[in-house]
Amino acid sequence: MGFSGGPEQEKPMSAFLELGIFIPIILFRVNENSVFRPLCHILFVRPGKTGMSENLQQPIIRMFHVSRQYGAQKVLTDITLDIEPNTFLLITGPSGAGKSTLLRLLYLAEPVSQGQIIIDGVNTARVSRRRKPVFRRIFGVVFQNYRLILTKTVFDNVALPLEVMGERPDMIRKRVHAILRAIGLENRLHAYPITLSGGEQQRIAVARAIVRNPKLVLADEPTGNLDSDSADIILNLFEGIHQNGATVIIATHDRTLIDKMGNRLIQLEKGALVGDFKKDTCFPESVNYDSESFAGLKSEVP
Amino acid sequence: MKTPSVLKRALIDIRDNGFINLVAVLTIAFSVIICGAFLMCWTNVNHWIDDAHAHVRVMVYLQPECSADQIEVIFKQIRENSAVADVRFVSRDQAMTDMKVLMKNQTSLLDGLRVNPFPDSFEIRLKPDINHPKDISAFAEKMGSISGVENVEYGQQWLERFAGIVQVVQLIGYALITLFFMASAFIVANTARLVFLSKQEEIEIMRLVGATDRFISTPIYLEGVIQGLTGGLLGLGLLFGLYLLLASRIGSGAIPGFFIISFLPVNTTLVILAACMIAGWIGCLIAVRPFLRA
Ligand SMILES: Nc1ncnc2c1ncn2[C@@H]1O[C@H](COP(=O)(O)OP(=O)(O)O)[C@@H](O)[C@H]1O
Ligand SMILES: [Mg+2]
Repeated sequence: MGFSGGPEQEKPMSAFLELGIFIPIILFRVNENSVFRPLCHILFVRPGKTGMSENLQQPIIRMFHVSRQYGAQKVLTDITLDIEPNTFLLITGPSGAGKSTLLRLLYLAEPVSQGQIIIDGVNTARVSRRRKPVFRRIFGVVFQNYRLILTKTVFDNVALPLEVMGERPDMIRKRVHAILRAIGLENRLHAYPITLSGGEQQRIAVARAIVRNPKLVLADEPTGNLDSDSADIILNLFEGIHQNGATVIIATHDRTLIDKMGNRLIQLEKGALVGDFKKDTCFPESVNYDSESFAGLKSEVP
Repeated sequence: MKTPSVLKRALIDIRDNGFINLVAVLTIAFSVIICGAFLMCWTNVNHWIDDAHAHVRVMVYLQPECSADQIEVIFKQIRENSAVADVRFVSRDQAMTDMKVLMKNQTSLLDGLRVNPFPDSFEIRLKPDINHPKDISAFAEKMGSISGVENVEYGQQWLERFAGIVQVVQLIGYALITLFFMASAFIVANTARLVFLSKQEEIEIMRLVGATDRFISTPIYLEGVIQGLTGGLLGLGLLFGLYLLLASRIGSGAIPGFFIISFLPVNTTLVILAACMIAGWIGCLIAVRPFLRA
């Protein structure tokens, strides 16, 4: 198995590699021409392969030849993907490409048909039905149709992820108030979701996803219904939680989101991974992610 | 998980599903009334039987032509019998007045009688250890053979015949209680299932944000137990109301030591409440398991 080597075996090399990491950085600063790009990809962009300091560099998500099919219909085919901690990953692709399905596999809402997914060092196939909810606590998820609980108030919806973990009520209250203030909805505390606009509901959904300060945030079209002001608020939240060290994965069509956010972007098409781009020191200029210009960029798909 | 928040969620659930919760509570209350009424009859009858066993009562009726001297002789004979605890002479006039007290409003019926139909009699209570049917019938025979005695009656004859029936009734009672217990559990199960179905999307979302089965099902169990307790209290309350009504009608204590009916003993009411809560809990267990396995 490609990733069976644990980090402990790779430790002796780490001193060398930690030193090594600076070489490509210096090289890229000096010269960003294409000669060094392969080196960049091997040593810097995908350090998970070579195993650096395990906390920082062990991929938080590893997908290994993952497929998903409904009956005969293949929705995802042979996806192999490592996601480093603290990545801000955007998943794009035409509608029906399998973005939402990919996210659902990650938060264990459905099982893989083939392949394996390792999240935070845990093989998700080994998580029992009973343990799944507990396992999901490392995630914050913004679902595609918000999926707010209509019989609960805004406060109770946002408090739910903390309540299920048995947090103290005063702590919950403080945290929920703070996050609702951050999204500008503290005055709608006792409102029911039905009485809110689509954009407001979506903001609540984002608040619920990040209220627990999760290590991993998954969001399915989180800015789909937002006006640009609301979208900015939301994007700031994502950026904030990313800066705090979380890994953020967003499936989106949203141009502004793609332009402004993220340090990695993958493209799905008909269930296949067709593009994988870094938006970092390797590609410092503002990259145009129009689907036509994807072809011109170097793809990392193995 | 904090208990108050679980209780809060259970109460919110009950509020949100008011109607089906009410149906469940009323069903349990109804079951409690039926079973409680049965238990009440049962304990009272048992009480009477025990009472009757403790002091067997024998009535000795005298021939109308008995003279006062003769009555005196008979009285002595009875009092000297070793089986007798105490004996009381009831004159025919006394019997008439007793009857009038007993019939209260219907005294006009008795007023219409031109002659007093009651004979003079002795009311005998036997010693507590004389309660074997053979001893009693031997005693009754002895009394019957005294000259001047018209006839002898004792409740024991009736009681012995009754003993067989008592056992059958007891069995029916157990069946009844089991049946209503199951009905209660079933109705709670049904309620819990409806609550679960109406909240499927909500429960799915809760799971997705990290709620364990326990977090989800605890308030539902609590809801079942609360339903059981509420239904039990309501049923016992109504039963007590019925009891008061009945007791006032019968004129409890009109004949000292006999027609007293009493309410269920405290122990029994506690057992009934516990059974209601257990029924609620079992109902939820039945309802929730398939959902959690899915
Ligand atoms: N539960 C399902 N059963 C059958 N087909 C499904 C199901 N969920 C998604 N699909 C199909 O999988 C494909 C990918 O869907 P989805 O992941 O939602 O795409 P995206 O989010 O990229 O628009 C679509 O063709 C969709 O019809
Ligand atoms: Mg989608």
